[in-house]
Parts: sequence; C-alpha cells; structure tokens
Amino acid sequence: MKFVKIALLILITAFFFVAADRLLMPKYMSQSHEGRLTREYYSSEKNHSVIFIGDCEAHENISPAELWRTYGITSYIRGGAQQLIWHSYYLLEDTLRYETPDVVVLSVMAMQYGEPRGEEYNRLNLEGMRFSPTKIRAVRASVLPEEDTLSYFLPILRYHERWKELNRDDFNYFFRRKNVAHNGYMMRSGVMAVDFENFIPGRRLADYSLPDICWEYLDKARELCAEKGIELVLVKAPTIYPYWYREWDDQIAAYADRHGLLYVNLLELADEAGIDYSIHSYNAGFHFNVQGAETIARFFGGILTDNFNLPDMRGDDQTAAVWERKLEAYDAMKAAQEREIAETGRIRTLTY
Amino acid sequence: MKKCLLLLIYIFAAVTFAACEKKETPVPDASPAPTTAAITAAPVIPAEDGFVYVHNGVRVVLGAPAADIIAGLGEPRSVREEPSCAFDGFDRTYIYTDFYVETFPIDDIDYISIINFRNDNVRTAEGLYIGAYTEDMTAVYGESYNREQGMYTYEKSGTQLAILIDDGVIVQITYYFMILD
Repeated sequence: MKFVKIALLILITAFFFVAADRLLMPKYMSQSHEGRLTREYYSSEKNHSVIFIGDCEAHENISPAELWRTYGITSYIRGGAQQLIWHSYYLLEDTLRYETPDVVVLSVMAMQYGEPRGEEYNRLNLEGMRFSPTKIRAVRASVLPEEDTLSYFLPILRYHERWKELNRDDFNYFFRRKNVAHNGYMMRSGVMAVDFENFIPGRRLADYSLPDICWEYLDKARELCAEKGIELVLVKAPTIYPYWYREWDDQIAAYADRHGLLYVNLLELADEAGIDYSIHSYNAGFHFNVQGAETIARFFGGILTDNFNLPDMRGDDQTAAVWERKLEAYDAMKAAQEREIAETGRIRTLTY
Repeated sequence: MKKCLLLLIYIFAAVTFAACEKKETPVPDASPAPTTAAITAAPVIPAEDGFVYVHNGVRVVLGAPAADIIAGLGEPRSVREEPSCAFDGFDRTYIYTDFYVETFPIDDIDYISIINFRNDNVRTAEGLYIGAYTEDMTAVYGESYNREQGMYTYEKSGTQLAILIDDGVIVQITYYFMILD
C-alpha cells in the first residue's frame, strides 16, 4: 500500500511538472512564429527529395509548394531565425536521423557570423529539437556562457518566471498548436519595393575572411552529406539586404569549386530568375513575399532538376494526395493574406 | 509519508528554481529584447563622454534616444527599416546626403547605434574627414588605436571611432556604440 502511495505521489508530481513545463513554454502563436519551425518538422512526412537548411534566407524566400506544383519535387525547409552555421549543421544531422534526401541546399548567408547572436536565437532554433544525442551536441556547441545547458532539455528551468506574463495563447494552445509554416516556408504577402535610389552598399570591412568556425561546420556538413550519398548545394538568396560582399562570395565560390559542389548565387541571377524587386519583396529587399518565393522556386527548381536526377513525384498517388492537402492549406492562407492586405494593409493570417 | 511528500516538493522546487541564482541580465544586441525567453534588456546609457558627431549644431550621441536627434538633423533622404530576424521592431537607417545614422530598438524606443560618413562633405567633431591622410588621423586622435589590417579603431567611453585607411588615405569613417558588440 505504501509503495502504491509513493508511486502515486511521484506520478502526480511528474504530471504537475510536465503540465507546468507545457504551460510556461512560449507558444510562438501570436508573435515570433519562427519559434515553431524546428518543432513542426517532426510532424511532417519524411520522404523529401530536397532539404533546405538556413536562416530566414531559407525559410522566407522559397516555396516548397511551388516546387511541388511546378516540378513534383518534395522538399522541406529546416530554417530558423538567425540560424547560425552550427545550428544548421546540427539540424542537418537531426534531419538525417529521419530521412535521406537526394539534395541538401544550404543557405550561406550565415557564414559571416562566427559568434552567437544571442540566447533568443539559440532558443528559437534548438529548443524545438527532439531529444537526441544530436540535440545534446547542438546545445553544447551553441549555448552562451550565461546560459544553462540543462534548460534546453527541461525548459521550465528557463521559463519558470513566465507565470507572471502568461497570456491567452498559453491556455488556448496548451494542448495543441497551429502550424505556422508550409513545409518550413513562412508565407508573407504584401509589397514594399526596394529603394535602389538610396541603396547603401555595406561598409567596408578590415577583414573579409569568413570565420574559421563556419568553415569547420561547412566541412562537417559536406562530409556528412558525402557519407550519406547526398548532394550538397550552396545557395545565396537574391535578397538585397543584409549586404552580401563580393569578397565573401568569392570565398564560397572557391570552396564550392574546390570540393565539386554546386554554388548558386541567386543575386547574380535575379534578372534571369524573373525577380522584380519592385513587387517581389514585402520589406524592401530583406525578404521576399509569396510571389517572390514562388518565382525563386520556379527558377531554382529548374536548376535542381537540371543538375540532379530528382524524381517527379506527382505521379505517385499517395504522395500526391498528401501534397494536395498541403496545397489547399497553402492556397487558403495565400488568399487570406492577400485579402487582408487589400482590405486593411496588414496580414493577420499567419497560422493555420 | 509526509516526509516523502516534503522531499519531493523540495526536489521539484530546487530543480525548478535552480536557475534563478545564476541568471544574469544579458546585454541587449541589435535586436529587440524578446518576450519569449523572459530576457530583460539592460538600460541603454547614452555615451555622452564618448566620440560624438556634431552636425549643424546637433549632437549625435551614440546610445542616446534617436527621436529628438533625428528630428534635429532634418528630413532624411530615405529611411530603411531592417526587420529583426524574429522579433517585433526594426533597426532603422536614416540616410542623409553626406552620412547615415543607424538605430536599434529596445522597448519601443530607438537608440543611436552607428554613424557612417558617406563623403568628404562632413567632418568628425575633431576635424577628420574622408580623404585626409594617416598622419592627419594620428595628429588628431593619437597613436592609441587598435589596428586590424587597414582599419584603425579608437575607443572612448563606450564608443568606437573606426577609420579605414587605404594606401595612406582615409576612405571610411564610422562611429559605433560599443554595447552592440
């Protein structure tokens, strides 16, 4: 009897612990939606031909739905806000625990950052990872000195003070949260043209060398892909800002050349891709709107199919049925956002 | 039984609140303080004693609230808003003909973070300008700089004055608020 009571007590304590953890964790439903990206991957089917990895240059600038619609390519973006190159590596490693794509496309924008950019970005990129040896390595590689490593596995250690700022979202989304992305793509409608008249090139730097640590992780990503028989492609999105220096580009191009990788700098191919900076960005050249992301997908998908033997899965009934549902959700959000922009100038539909 | 219950509550409380003691207030970076991880931004203290750029009598103090300063500088040619990668709020760049000023937001207030000269029409408060020579720089600011390749950086009370020299000629002058580093 005593044993039963103790067991019951432990169970009740554990229940409250888990419940408190779930309640106090940020839900990322009304703001900072990027905090949902890492976690959402696990509920997707795991049969993607192409995996994109990177920061907002990945998750805001190419539409997997359009890749499917135009080429029958199944793809997923494992992106994250201010995702650093070591985040990218470990998210790649994590992804390969579940599937082996034909191609991995790595955004190179983050190659400029050799230092962590703040705890909040570690949280957004890593907290949603499922527990695994990969997550342990990812957290150890990323945490700042003032951070508590254990709190990435027991978030209540970090968020216990949030009880003071609990809001409606914390209760509404206690059990179930909505999706924020379409196979990792965060959709944004709206237009804010690039102001080329007042374009400012990047300030000149004393040293244009990309940080050693970034090369180390790029090497690791390349070796991991080679080991798994995956083609690694490097890509620079055609965004105008943040400024991408020619000197950085030369280093990436030389690396790709040295290792026989395909490197696509879409900035240089923007005209050919059909990108119109007066209508395809929603924030003046930092990110693309949904029409821009679809334009990029159509062009980049062509490059992928030209260079790699990617299967057109539209003839596969089971896969086609899954994507049919995805397209329905995608088109519905796109229509809703465009309606909201037309009526109020602001987007409200960011989840589904 | 009561002891057992107390022990469990203690362990729970100990684990839950263990992080309290060692948590420090992180230094804010260029992005606004997130509401997601309960990080509190440290107050921004204007660097009145640091390097200050003066334009037509307006003191552009790094780390100072931007609103009054920007108003004093007059209508910019353009304002560029750089979205944070995840959080609400924007870094802003106010572009004038001869220089530009960058700001960062904390708690809905923009602060001056960077001033960069665009041409030789403007001078530092101490008289240095783009096109001057290395010896002009050392005559004004001395030899106490950090040098990384062609970039000479002077530090003063939480600010940096970074001067890029190419072949003996100053080609870029930039002020930085150091809390952003």
